[in-house]
Amino acid sequence: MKAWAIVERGSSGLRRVSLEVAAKAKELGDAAVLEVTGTERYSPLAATAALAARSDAPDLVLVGATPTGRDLGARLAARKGWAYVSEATSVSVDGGSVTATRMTYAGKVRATVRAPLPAVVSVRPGAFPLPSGATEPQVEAVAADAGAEALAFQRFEPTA
Amino acid sequence: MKLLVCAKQVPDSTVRVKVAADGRSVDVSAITWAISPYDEYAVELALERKDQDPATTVAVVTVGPARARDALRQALAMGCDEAILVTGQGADTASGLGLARALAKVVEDVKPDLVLCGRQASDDDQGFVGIALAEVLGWPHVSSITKFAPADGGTDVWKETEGGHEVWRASGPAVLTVQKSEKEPRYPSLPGIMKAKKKEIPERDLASLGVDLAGPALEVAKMEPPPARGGGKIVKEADPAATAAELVRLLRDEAKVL
Repeated sequence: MKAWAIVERGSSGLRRVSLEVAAKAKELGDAAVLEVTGTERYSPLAATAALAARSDAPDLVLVGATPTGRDLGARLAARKGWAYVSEATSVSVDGGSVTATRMTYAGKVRATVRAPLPAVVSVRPGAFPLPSGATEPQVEAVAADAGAEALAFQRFEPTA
Repeated sequence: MKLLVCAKQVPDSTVRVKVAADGRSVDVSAITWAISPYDEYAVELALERKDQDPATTVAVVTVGPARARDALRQALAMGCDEAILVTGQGADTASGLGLARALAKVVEDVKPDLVLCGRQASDDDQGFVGIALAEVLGWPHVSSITKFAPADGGTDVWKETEGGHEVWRASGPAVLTVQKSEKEPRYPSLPGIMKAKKKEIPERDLASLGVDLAGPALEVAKMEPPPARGGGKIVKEADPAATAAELVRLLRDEAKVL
């Protein structure tokens, strides 16, 4: 099985949830750990275009369920016509489908859902605790074209 | 400006949701239905724009079963100008991408400047259809917004991110998924309710939209109550410093969150 882990970088290296999804992708199969680069900040259209243009076809894409991960995961799945599962707390692959557990009804019901592959799954931080002694994954940069974004960034307003 | 809000009818957030006997759906026999909370914020944001600019009109659309008409009636009573119900066979079985294609058809007819959706519906909590709608339309999207305002050459949109807001400018149409409105969603006024009662809610047959409702669909294998939370622990040592030290030790060694 071919898997992608899409990772994000914070101020002190790869985010913890990114390390978690990268480790999980490796556990599930032949994994590529991808980081979208080339834009100053996350751009849905630029990141989606860059990933959608890749020639390698993954069976499963894992991304952290961060604001960026949920956004990119949904747009990429819609672009490619792949299944999308949001905020999974467990993920397993069996034959042609992925099974995930996730909270629904605003946390009142836990659902186990099955989606056909290929699928994009955003994964809750902490769902897969890092194996002890996990090493920093080899990250492949995916260069995005900032010109693919239709919106213009104006400014950042920090919370007071 | 013309705004279109996409809303979904879901179990009211105050009702108890119980898993049905089949173990893979929820028991809807005693459910009160309402507009999904994030969609209600989207309605409120749209109406706040209309408050500031009376030339703005707000339409609301839902894809759902016949009972979803009540959600549209609620949106009209809050102050929306028109409502469209897309219903019929497939309304409850369409894939997320299929729903996005159906909504895109409505967008083509209504021709709004902006489309607003809640960031996710509070039933499946997927957060997919709004973003997929942008993709089907070929429009940009901004997710988790809390505000939008007209700006020089377009619309400025405040996107909630970690630590603050990013402000993005859309020079053309866009889909916005709403995290929260600045004010709490308004209650329908009595005149609003009376007016809403008289409004026609045109119905469109989902099958006649001519869109492919298929697509990769999620199959629910099991539903169950969430796991019970473990009991809490009270840390109380001889003095505050010792309590703090013990708390740090527990967080680091037992909870492993530090």
